[in-house]
Amino acid sequence: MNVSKTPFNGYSVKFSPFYEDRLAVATAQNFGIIGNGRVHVFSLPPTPTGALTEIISFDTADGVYDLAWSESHDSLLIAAVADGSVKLFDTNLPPPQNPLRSFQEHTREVHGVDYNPTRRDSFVTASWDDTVKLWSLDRPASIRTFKEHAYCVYSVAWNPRHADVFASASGDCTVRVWDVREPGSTMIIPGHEAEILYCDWNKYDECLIATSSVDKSIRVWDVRNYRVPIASLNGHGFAVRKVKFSPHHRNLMMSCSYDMTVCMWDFMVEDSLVGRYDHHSEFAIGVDFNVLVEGLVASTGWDQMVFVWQHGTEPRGP
Amino acid sequence: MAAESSSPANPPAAGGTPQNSAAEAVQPANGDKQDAAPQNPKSVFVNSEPIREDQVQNAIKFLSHPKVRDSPVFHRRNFLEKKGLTKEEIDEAFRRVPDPSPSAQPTATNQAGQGVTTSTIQPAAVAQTPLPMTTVPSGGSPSMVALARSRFHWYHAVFAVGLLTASGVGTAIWVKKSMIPRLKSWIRWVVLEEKHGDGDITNIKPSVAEEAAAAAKSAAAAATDVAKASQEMMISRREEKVNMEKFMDLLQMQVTEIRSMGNAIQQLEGRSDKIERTHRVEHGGYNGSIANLKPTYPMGNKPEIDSRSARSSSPPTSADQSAPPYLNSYMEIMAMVRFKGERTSKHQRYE
Repeated sequence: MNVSKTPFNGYSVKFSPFYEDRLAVATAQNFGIIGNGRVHVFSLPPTPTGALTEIISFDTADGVYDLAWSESHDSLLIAAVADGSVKLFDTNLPPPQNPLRSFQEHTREVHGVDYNPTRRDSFVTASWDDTVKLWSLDRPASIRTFKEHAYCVYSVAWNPRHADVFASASGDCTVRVWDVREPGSTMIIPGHEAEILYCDWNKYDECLIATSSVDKSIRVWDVRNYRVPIASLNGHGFAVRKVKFSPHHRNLMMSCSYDMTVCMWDFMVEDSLVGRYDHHSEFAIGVDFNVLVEGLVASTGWDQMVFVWQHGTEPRGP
Repeated sequence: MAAESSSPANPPAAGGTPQNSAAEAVQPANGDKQDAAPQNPKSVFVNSEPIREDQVQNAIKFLSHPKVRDSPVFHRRNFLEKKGLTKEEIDEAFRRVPDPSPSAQPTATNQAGQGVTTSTIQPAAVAQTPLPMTTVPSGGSPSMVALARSRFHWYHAVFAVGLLTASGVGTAIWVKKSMIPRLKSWIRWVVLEEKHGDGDITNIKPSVAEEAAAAAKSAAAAATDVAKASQEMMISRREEKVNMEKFMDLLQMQVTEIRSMGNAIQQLEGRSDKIERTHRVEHGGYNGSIANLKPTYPMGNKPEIDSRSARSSSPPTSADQSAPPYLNSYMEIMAMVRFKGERTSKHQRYE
């Protein structure tokens, strides 16, 4: 319904938790392999069709792989940059005064970042140097480093109800559940036979976690009984890049994949696929649900397009 | 601002409470999770399964393997994690590995606890373990011995090969050492027989020299024989080569002749193809003559072909009934052509 084209290839899209018509897109030049990056902040037009209007954009020296809105300040953005730095941007300040801060501790690309939704004072970053780092905005250095994975950590996700629990998905084919109060990981889920690219917690059941993997499947696990998945969702033609649970429906999930489609799933149903959108003409890399508007979803991909539409309608407009 | 930010968190919280109570009913060991107090002794995000002894045994077997011992510790841990072992099980296996034969006493107490809780473990995990629980301690040691035995087998083979070569060399040396004195004594005896009563003692030394000379002569003779034989072989091989080349040339000539013949036949067939169709009766004989052409010398066949083509160029019209149905149209054409008299032969020649 609302479309916009970014100059660089899209990597991640996130709706703001404060403004229902605001979203940020992380992009990288040359598909993220080499070159600069840019963070766009868009505003949705009042009409259902039409282009997104760009409020502000920030340039970075390397591609931006992920971003997270702060839960404590409505204008703060955290960007995970491919040169290993974590940058803090303020959308109220003009680009020359940004970034407010740059945390350079990871030795390799930072691939994932997630802000703590319950405590709202800390965030974790996932990096290809096999570590996960815990940060706070008022500290210059990381609070903790979690080093247990044997390969790149692709994503981290805070548990929506437990303030100290988060999960990390890694290329060593495991998902680890951590507690910041514990010295090491508290649970190791060998989820797939191939690399696990993303993990996300269910917003209504804090024990359910979904993982998406290179083996084209999405699996939903219950951490109380993690030997066997609750559901295994197949249907994508290639590796599944992201999977997100809906903040409005317990069973609804959305995923994007290298087969250029965005799929909606209901994992409690036998034939789980609820909807499929193939509006992208290249790898679909980022998806997000709008927390404030039920059914509003956004997706971005390497075709430099950002789509925002209502689930159940056609993304490219009538 | 604050109210707005907390509103997204409220619906999930409201929806989560029935789930929480269900979770608590399932696992009585869980502390309450509704309050944010961090003093929960047991959270649901921790492995509450007891250590599975069979998995620990498998891990011990894996870690005791010599190849695994050479790999870094990190890779071993990661492999076990991928196989689904919990941290406690992996730590337990690492603790036990320096002692390769697991004693039955510390495992017996665990087994008693295992009997109750294994039923709750997923059947998938149980299916992974090949050995049943009761035979695991005894199964551990035969596998270790089998490993050791297999090692011995390998070394054993190497040792046996070395022994064989050494014995072969030794027997060769021994044979030489024993054969030569025997040969010498035999020659001596022969020489003594010849020079009967000439003083054996004085004859021993010259006989030795004679023996040496005789041996040298015989060796030289043998060498010359060998040289002659090899030379003859070379000569014969050369002759064979030459013969082969001649044979090949002859074959080549034959092939070229046959090819030219084939071309001529094709041309003639092109000309006489229609005639052949009208002369179905002669078809078998025509083919038979072609077959007969091949084994005989090619030069002689050409006049035969010409004669046959000459004969077949005068077409009788007798074979209409034996022609296959698809030729009827062609026959009509031929009939039309034939009505024009002399033009028929011209057409055939051109085609």
